[in-house]
Amino acid sequence: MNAPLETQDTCADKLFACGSNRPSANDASRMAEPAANQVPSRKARIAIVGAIGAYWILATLYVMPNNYIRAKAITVMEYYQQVFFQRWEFFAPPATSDYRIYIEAPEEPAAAPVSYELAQPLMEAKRRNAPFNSAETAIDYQLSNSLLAIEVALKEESQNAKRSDSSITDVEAYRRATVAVTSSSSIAMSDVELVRLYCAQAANRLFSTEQRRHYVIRIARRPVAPFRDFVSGRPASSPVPETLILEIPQPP
Amino acid sequence: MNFWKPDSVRPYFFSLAALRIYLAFHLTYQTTYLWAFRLTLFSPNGLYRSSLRVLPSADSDNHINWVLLVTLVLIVYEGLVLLMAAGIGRNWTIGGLFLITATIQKLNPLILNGGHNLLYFLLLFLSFTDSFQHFTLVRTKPPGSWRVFFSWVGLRCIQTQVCLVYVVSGIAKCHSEVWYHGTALYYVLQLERFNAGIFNRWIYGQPVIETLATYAVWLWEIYFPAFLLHRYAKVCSLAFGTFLHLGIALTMMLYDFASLFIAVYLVFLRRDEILWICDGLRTAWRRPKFFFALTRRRSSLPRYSKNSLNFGAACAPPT
Repeated sequence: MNAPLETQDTCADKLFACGSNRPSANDASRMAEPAANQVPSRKARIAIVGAIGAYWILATLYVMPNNYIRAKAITVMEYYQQVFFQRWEFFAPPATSDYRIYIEAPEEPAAAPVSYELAQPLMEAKRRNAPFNSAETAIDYQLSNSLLAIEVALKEESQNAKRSDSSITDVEAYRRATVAVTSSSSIAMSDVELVRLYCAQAANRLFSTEQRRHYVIRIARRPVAPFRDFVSGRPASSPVPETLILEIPQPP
Repeated sequence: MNFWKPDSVRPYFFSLAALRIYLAFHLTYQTTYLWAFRLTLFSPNGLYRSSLRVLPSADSDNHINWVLLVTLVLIVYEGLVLLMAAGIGRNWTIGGLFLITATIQKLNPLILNGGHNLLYFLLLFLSFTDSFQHFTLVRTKPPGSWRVFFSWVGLRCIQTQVCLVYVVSGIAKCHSEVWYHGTALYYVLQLERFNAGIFNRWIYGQPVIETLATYAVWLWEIYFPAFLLHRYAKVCSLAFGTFLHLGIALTMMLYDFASLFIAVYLVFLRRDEILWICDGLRTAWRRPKFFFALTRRRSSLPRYSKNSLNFGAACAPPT
């Protein structure tokens, strides 16, 4: 009859034993005596478990969807996120569009403007070089996260503009938001600067000296093709147009 | 219930040590990455202009100082990683690694993903856990009561953190239309950022698979902690998670994220369970008929015995 599994020397046990400073499972006689440490007192244990419990209550409160309790504890949450920031809403909801970054400059002499798109070639290079695409990934993360931060800042500034003057239209609120986001005191200033720097590097390669003074940056979103029709099962055929998010002029 | 007993951590010392070794490899990869792209990521001449930037501009007179500083930090970082792998310095080494990791993450938060966020908490909780009972160069004493107690706290914190990650992710998906209608996977795999070109075109033409896979991922995330309550459901759930994250690595090019999440599953497996899985895989490797080989094994998944706590000499409780 076989011995219980815990006391058998299995193949994997032998495999792992080579790196261990411990004896194998069968060699109980070599088991060292445990250190004679003081047993933690009941009060100490309760205090530590209480502190850890309080931490987990805060953590749960921090990661839960926005609600009345969380909103009331906003000050505590701000302190909490200084040290324990966490965000786990992976693709919920998932992004349904790709970013497009255009740099556009007037062609000399004053004909149709010359335009280049910068995001798609980067993603293509990332895909082509996978899994050795660390360089492209490093730029992609910085660029995409900045674009996301700019979009969030635009929404916030739009809401602020509407709050301060309820008579303005959505278009006017959006116009004010674009001005606020591209200004030097914007909350997304570092993100706008990052996009500007990336575009400037590309413009140095692509544009002439004269064009470099006048080019503008346009950030847009290109929605992916919608999921197929539920009834017919056919893929959606109509292309979805791009939407402009922000136009960043050259700084004076 | 065993969950609340500090001694219940003993069968997990093996898993914690294995996780520490994995983290050494993971952090070595990250150090190499940071070293290779230090100019792009941290230099004042790079893309990101953080208010936290303390390094002088590379074209200024302090260029040499800056290069020295970055070199020094990364050498110290890798040195600590090697010490952690060898088990030297024990919890202090992991604590030091946690502090440097937190600093580096704050220097350029734009390059972080969910894997970096989890790594932060793993190092924090591992810094007060005894993960040095296996795979160390120096011989370690069996843990005393305090070490067992703090290891228990650390282990349960890591386990709770992973459960929190999945449950929060699952709950957040509940109010998303694309997850509700089973189209989320389609949209995610269509994005240029996460399109590795492997399987994506094939999946595009398989709406049934897309829909079923979307719901499977969603339900698995929400019920992740519940699956841990039953031993076979736990192994199946972790196997599903492993395949899911392998898929994420292959199709979405998130290699470090996926590998960390697969490695962290170790904290849910006791030593005997890991050995059981390894034995099963080894047998399956020898025999080409994989599932047949697994089912013909003489033993089933080991059952946890709360009275004996007999998991071999390495996990024996203090007497």
